[in-house]
Formats: sequence, structure tokens, C-alpha cells
Amino acid sequence: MKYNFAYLDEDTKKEIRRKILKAVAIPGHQIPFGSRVMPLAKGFGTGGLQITLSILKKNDIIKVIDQGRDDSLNPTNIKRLIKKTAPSVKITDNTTDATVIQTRHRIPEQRLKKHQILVLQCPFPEPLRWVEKSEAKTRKMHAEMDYSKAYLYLYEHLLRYGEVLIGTRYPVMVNNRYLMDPTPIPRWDIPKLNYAECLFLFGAGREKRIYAVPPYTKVEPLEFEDYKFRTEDMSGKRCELCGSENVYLDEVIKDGQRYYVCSDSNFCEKMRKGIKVERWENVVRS
Amino acid sequence: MLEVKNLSKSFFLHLLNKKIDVLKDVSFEVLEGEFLAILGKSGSGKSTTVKCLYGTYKPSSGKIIYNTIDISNAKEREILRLRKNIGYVSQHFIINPRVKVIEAACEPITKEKNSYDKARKLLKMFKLKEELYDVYISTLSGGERQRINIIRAIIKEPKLLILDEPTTYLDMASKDILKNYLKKLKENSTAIIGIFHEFDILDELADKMLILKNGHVTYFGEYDKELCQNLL
Amino acid sequence: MLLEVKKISKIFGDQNCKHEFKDNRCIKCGAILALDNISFDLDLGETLGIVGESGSGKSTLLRIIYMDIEPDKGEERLKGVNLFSLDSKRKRDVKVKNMGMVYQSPKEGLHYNISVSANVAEKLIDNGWRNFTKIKDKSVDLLNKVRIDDYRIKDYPSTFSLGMQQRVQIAKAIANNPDLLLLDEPTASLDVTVQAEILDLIKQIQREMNIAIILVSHDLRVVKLLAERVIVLKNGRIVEAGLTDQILEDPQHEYTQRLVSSIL
Repeated sequence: MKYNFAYLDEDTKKEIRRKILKAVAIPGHQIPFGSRVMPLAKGFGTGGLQITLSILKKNDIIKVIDQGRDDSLNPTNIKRLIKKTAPSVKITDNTTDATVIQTRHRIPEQRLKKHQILVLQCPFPEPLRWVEKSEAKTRKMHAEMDYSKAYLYLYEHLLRYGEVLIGTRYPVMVNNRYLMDPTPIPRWDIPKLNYAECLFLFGAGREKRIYAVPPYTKVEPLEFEDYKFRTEDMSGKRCELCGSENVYLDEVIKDGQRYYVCSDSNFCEKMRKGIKVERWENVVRS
Repeated sequence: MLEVKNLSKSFFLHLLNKKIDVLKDVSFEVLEGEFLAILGKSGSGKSTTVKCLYGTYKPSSGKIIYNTIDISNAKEREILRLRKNIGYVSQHFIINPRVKVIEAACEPITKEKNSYDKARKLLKMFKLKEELYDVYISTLSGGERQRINIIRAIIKEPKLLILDEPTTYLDMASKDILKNYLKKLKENSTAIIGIFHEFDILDELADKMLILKNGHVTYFGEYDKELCQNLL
Repeated sequence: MLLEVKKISKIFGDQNCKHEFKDNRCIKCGAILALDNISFDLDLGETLGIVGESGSGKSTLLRIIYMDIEPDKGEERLKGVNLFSLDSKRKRDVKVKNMGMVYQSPKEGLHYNISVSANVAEKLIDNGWRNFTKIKDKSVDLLNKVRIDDYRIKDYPSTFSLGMQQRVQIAKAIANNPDLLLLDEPTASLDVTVQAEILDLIKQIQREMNIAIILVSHDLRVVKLLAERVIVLKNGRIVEAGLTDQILEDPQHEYTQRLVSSIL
């Protein structure tokens, strides 16, 4: 079976690229698009994949990660598809070399540069869905900047637990205009979005939305004056394999013992090899 | 300060398709500091006259002029504004029974700063016990409620005080208190219009009298007890 | 003048039809004439009662004033500004800063998936409050004012009785010290003792705040208690308007007389 370069036909790519342009022009705003049938079940990254396949050029270098790891089932399958339909595209695990990185639920620990694009897989693009079930109403809310309900989400946490216990999908304000769901990345990764050099693209295949955060865009997590945004507390913990501190760690329980391991596998590998890694500038608050 | 010219009032009851003429061509006037007694048999139109003066009833024709403002066709806000200076003691107890005595007393001036103090002063003057101040009106006797009715009208310190049979349930002591208070008001240039059955109050206070019969004026002039008894 | 409502009309149905109404129904397309040429004004410190039976259009009128729905004709001026000419966002700003609405059913006015404190907090956050402690304290303050205890502020609205839910709505409506408070049958479907509490609360608000209130009710006794002026609606039209005591003691229009004579 002969496929078009990168699986998608040119018309589909055209539409998706147009929608991406529109998304980049209106940071944080969700753009509807005609999500195609992909050789991947919905809920497994079809949105992110459609973006990746639409923007891949013949000489791009692609990295695909899931929760920070390159070797999981999903990235492996996606890379196989790319290898088959876009053979000229090089596949890598090295964050430094990649020009396009597709990721699920994590932003790499290594700072991404101007020429790099991070494509995030998005399950639920609408940050207000929890408080308003109707799409018509949430669209109106975005149009009118009616975002107080997002603050209520934080308010309830503070009222009941004394702290904001949101683990992922922490609501952020993009460019002082749109409330955005950053996808289920941990709070740890949120500060990376702010004034980054690289381009962030978000794709939701099941929900049929694309949105973007262009380079050097202000991205602020929602917070109260007296209860500011805090990332997870990684102090006192270090990676069992490479010894790094101040990095997002996965918890592993082995033989009844609790260990921590770097979530970002490429970062961990570099640390073990003694390769210097440039971190994101933004102060990591915890 | 108050001039009534050719006041007529009729009611049209749609449900019975009937027109009832109550007042016909009533004219009189009241000056500052004057006490006008309105007299007449039951049903002669006394209460109706007084309600027209307060703006509750809209006259069918004629004029009611307060110092140049004709309320017979005034807008609602005008009437509300005028009412700030008119105290009206109605025959009936119109207060919500679920209100505390002290609240009911100071309600007409509720937005003023020392409304509670003024209310307490008047409650004390009319010999209402302090333990009653926080009690709901519904638990009070007729006489007590009537006293509160009176207090609500006079707490406004109005320029015109209208009283429609305010003494029906009052005992002698309370009537005396009222009488003395009205005397003081007269000295302060307050105009008073009263519908009373007790001649002892009228004898002491009334300057003029208006006698109504079947809605017509049969006499308007100086108060004269004998003349009054003859005409009624 | 705080609020001026001029010639408001609302038709539910086919907008393109050249309507011919008989008994408020278009004989050509079945459209319903809900409101016809309604005008009135209201200032701070005043309470206006809107009385009418079911179907008179009173709830529709209130929703138009609160800008939940748009009229077909007419103007609404708040402090001189024609509200219907504003865009969606500015309408919302005006609504949130200057108005408070208490719906007949608390389900319309409250979110059931967040605490009562959060429900009240929403109004404050809408008005730009961003300090959690201050917001929480103020919400507790307001809830206490409507006699809901501190230990219940975290509870969900569904755990309260209807009367208390109404009180939460009221707390929310006055949270931002609005100029205009709108109440749609605030005591309908409540027990008598609870009704009395709500009415007491509204009276307290009248005493303590220099606020304009529009009160819609089919119950003349409620209106008698709270409003100085009354508008009587029948089939979408103002049939009579006047001071409360005028309407109750000297009703001119046939419908008003019938309404008044029906009070038990």
C-alpha cells in the first residue's frame, strides 16, 4: 500500500496547517478542525499525531515520548507509522537533535530552542468543561472572558483542603486573554510554557480542537494573591539512576521499597553519561 | 397650606357594573397650626375625603392643593415626596403583624440615623412598656396597636397630621396623652385634620369643622359644638 | 434616574412573519406576544412591585431587564447607558457589577456542584476580587447576614432546604453591592414561615442598602409589604400602575379590581 508522505493526504494537511496558523495567531484560543480517522484509536493521541504529520518536512528529526519515556508502547507505534510513511524523517531519542517532539503528558526537562516544535496530545481541550457542560455556553464564556468559574475551581480546593490540590491540567491564562487547558502535564511543567523560545501546539483529536502557544507568549497559571501557584515539591528526593535533584520524578515501588526515577528518560540518560543539559530558565517554584 | 376645591370622588365597580358616588363637590381649606374636625354620620364620606388628601384615592374631579402642588393628578413620586410631610393615622391597622414593635414604630423614618431613639421616646410617651419593644405586633392589644399607628404618623414630624378615628381602642390615659401631644403640635404650626367621635378632644383643640352629609358639605367654618350637634 | 425601561416588547416565535395578534397569539404563525410596550422607571432606594398572574409576562420582563434574553423592541437605560446597544462582554460587565438576580427556583441561580461559599464567591470574583482570604471572609459575612451559619459554608446547596437555598441566592445577589436587585417570585413554593423569613430579609436589605428593587410576584400581600409602587401586568401589557395603597384600595381597571378582590 502506498501512502502519501506522512500518511495524511495533502488536503488534510492543508486544512490542519491553516488551523494551526489560526491557532498561533490567537494564542490559547481553541480552533475546531475536522479530525480524521487515524490508524490509532481515539484517546491515544490522534490529535497530536495529526498535527505532527501535517507539519513534518522531509528532513525533520522526530522524537515521540509518553510520560517522558521514548520506549513506551504508544511512542513506539507512532514512530513505526512515521518510519513507514515518511522514511526520510529521522527518528531520535535525543531531545537536543529533535526538530519536532510529540509528547503525552510531559514537557522535557531540557530547554527547547527556537527551531523546535513541541506537539502535545490533548484529551480535553476545554478548561471550563467541569463547571459548564454546554459547548455553546463555554464558547460564550471564552468570548466574554467570563473566567471567574475557573477561579472557583481553585477556591473550592482552598476552602476544603487549604491548598490547591490540582495535579494536572492546571488552568493557565494565555496572553492575558484566553483561559487554556495545558493538557495533563504536571504542575512542574507549567512554568516552562511562559515566554518559551519554542512553539507549543496542542491537538485534541477526539474533541476536534487545535490550539497553540507561540514563542515568547505570556502564560500564567491562575492563582490568588495570597495563595500563589506552586509546583510539586521535589525537595529531598533524587533520581535513583542518575542522582539528579530538582527534576520531576516518577515514584517506583520495588520489593516494598520506594524509589524515585527521572520521568524524562533522555534527560536521565544524559545525566548518567555526564552530558550537560540546558534547563528551562524560568524559576521552578516549589 | 392645604386647599381643597370641588373635590368629587366616585368608584366604578366593574364586577357589579355599578358606579358609587361618595363625595360631591367638597371644598375647604386648612391653615398652619389649625385643627380641622371632619364630622358626619357613618358613610358620609369622611374617610374617603381624608384618603383623597393622602393620595390613596385619586379624585374623580376637583383639586387638592398643598402649598401650590396639586396632588389630584400628581405623579406617584410627587405623592411619595409629599407624604414625607404628611402623617396619616388610618382607622385600620395596616402594619405587617410580623414586625417588632420598635421596628414598626421607626419604619417611616427608617433611613434616618437616630430613628430608634425617636421611636423609643414616643413609645415611652405613650406608655408602652419597654419589654414590648422586641415583641411582634401581632401579640399586642387593639389599644396598643392603635398607639403604634399614631406613633408611626407623628414620628415623621409632619407638617400635616391626618387622624381617622385614632381613639377607638384607646383608654382615657392614652387619649389624654394624644390630646396633649396634638396641642403641642398645633403650637408648632402643624396643621391637623381629625375625624373624632369624642367631643371632649374636639372642644379643646378644634378650630374649624367640616360637616359632611351624603358626600356633600353641609357646613364649613368655625368649630361650634352646638351647631354641630344640630346639623348631625 | 437609575433605571429607565422604555417600550419593551417581546414576541416568541417567527421573527419574519408580519404578525396579526388575537389574544396574544399570531393567527398566521402561532407566535406569542409576551410583552407589549412596557415602560417604567426606578430610582435608588425605591422598590417596585410587578404583579400579574401566570402568563402575564412578568418573569419574561425581569429576564429582559437582567439581560438573560433580548427584547424585540425597546430600550433599557441604566444610569443613562442604553444596555441593549452594548456588546455581549460589556453587557456581562454591567450585569455583574450593577445587578443582582434572585430566580424563582434556586436551581437557576446556584451551582449545585460547588459549596454555597463558592456560589457567593463567584460574584466577588466576577467583580475582580483576587484575594482568597478576603473573598472567603466576605462570603461568610454575607451568608451570616442571611442567617446561614459558619459551619455550613462548605456544604453543597442541595443539602439545604429550599428556603435556605433562596437565602443563598439573595446573599449572592447582593454580594457586590449592586444598584439594582431583581427578585422573581422569591417566596413562591416556600412554606409560610420560610416566606416570612425571606420577606424579613428583603426588608432588612431595604433598610440597610440604598438599592433599587424590582419584585415580581403574583401575591399582592408580598407586594403590599415591600413595594411602594406597583405595576399590574395582564397578557403582557401594563393594565394599571400606581402607589401600592392606590392599587390596593382604589383599583381603577377591571382586572386590577378582580385581582384585589381575590386576596383572601
